[in-house]
Amino acid sequence: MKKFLSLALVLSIIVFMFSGCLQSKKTLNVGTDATYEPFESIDESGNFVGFDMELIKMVAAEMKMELNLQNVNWDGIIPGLINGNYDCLISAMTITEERQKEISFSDPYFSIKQVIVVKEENDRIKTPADLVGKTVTAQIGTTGDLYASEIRGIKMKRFDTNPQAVQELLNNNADAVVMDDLVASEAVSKNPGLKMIDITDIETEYYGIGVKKEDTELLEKINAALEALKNNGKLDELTRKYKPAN
Amino acid sequence: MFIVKQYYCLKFVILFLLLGTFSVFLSVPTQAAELTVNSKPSGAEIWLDGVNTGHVTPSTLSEITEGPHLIELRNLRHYRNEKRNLAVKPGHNTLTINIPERSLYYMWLSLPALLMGALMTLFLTVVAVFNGILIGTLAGVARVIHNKIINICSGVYVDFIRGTPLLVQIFMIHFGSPPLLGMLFNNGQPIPLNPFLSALLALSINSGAYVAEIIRAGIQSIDKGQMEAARSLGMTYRQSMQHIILPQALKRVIPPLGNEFIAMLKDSSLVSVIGMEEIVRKAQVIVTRSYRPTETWLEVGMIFLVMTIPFTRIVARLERRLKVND
Repeated sequence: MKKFLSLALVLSIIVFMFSGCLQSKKTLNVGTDATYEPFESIDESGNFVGFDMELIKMVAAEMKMELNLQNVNWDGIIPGLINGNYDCLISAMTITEERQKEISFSDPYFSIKQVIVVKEENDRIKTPADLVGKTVTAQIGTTGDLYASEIRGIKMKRFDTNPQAVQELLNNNADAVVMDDLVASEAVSKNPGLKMIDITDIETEYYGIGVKKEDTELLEKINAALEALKNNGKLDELTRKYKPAN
Repeated sequence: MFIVKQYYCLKFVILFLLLGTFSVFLSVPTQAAELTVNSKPSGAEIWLDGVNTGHVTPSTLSEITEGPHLIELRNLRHYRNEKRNLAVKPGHNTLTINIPERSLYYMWLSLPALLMGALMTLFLTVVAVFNGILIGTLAGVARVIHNKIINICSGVYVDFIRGTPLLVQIFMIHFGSPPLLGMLFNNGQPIPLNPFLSALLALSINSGAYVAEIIRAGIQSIDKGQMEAARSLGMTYRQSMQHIILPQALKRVIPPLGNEFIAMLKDSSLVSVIGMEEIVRKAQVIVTRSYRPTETWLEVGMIFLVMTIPFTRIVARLERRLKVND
């Protein structure tokens, strides 16, 4: 009986191990951290929704490939790509020089700027200079985190997901959160009592789809797909859906 | 006469101006505006400035005066009452409100997803502890065998696993080992491990080390006379272990093994950091969207209790039963 059980368990483990291999070659495996509204999140029915999700579906369709989305943790998303858990990543990831040392990025597909989110009643914080000496949260390893960490005299608290950083502000455990502008407006609209402060003179950041450095072929295909979506207007349409011109 | 004409002209002009402004004043539309109120979900009563309008969302209220108003949505079953202050502008206004669920209803809605996660937690625990017992029996015996090399090897394994945090072990296996495996077997290309495999490996190896210590203690608690008697009957070390010592030892360690199972139920939640969709990871994904950590984490805690308390009782019963036998 014991032998049978152990055999059954070992077999099921092996089946799970190789379940990845049973995909047809024409599948695009994509990693994303689906805790980042409105770019990627999971809705009540368990579907991946958001700007990045719609974009990658269109890109996969252009490349005539099936799509396999994997929800992974943000701080493991680049190691997971390098290790080969997925072929590319799309996760509202800003193209930075540091990251380009590890992976390659596609052509930019979206632009954002960092903003500060504070409680509505807070009149004291109006510029990044006002953050000195304050407790500021951000999602670990994001450009918001990197930007805020450079301010001397700031007290940083870093969290695994962006909503956790926002919750810390809501719980009065922090004075401000630094994050991307579109994500901030989503958080502000969902949580009454918060407001968004623009940062003047800050660089515009661009999002890119990440692939392994050696994967030049895949990168070319993705860029070609993005180019096609730019030319036929679908990328603009999608951008306008999420970023209505105000 | 010239002056009189001018005087009359002026009067006319003034009169004309007065009439003009008066008529303009008259023709300004009565300050009525329209307000369309939408809500997700729909069906809530719309109250305007504390008075029930008799309308239910989605609905358009016509003939609202401009200016600030208090709009409330009330009496939607299972959903909270929401209020908004809105400065109504002339013409057409829209207001869309997402109504949050009442706490208990919200917890009811998140239950299916969390229970799926709990099922995965149970599955991971059962497989991990089962594998742990297999590995642990070998390692435990290896600790007591009269062979120095085997002793040391097993000792290194047990000390390493018990001396490092499970979280670190999970990271080492999921993120750290692919490049190493790649260098050994794949010409430097990392070999990816999918989260399910990494989770099972990490939890099984971890469980194995703790079970090894439990079984070692169990073996050493068996009277030396048993081994002596077995050997004097002509059994080899292996046979004595297999047929005499281990059966007795394993029966003795069932309560501690039960505790290991309960501990693993809770420790398994750490695999959420590699994206494994067990209950904690599912809860994180839900909280991300709903911004309601209090209800969600309370619910997760309660589900854990429902899983652990029965096992705690079973282990307590087993302990009492086995004590009587001794």
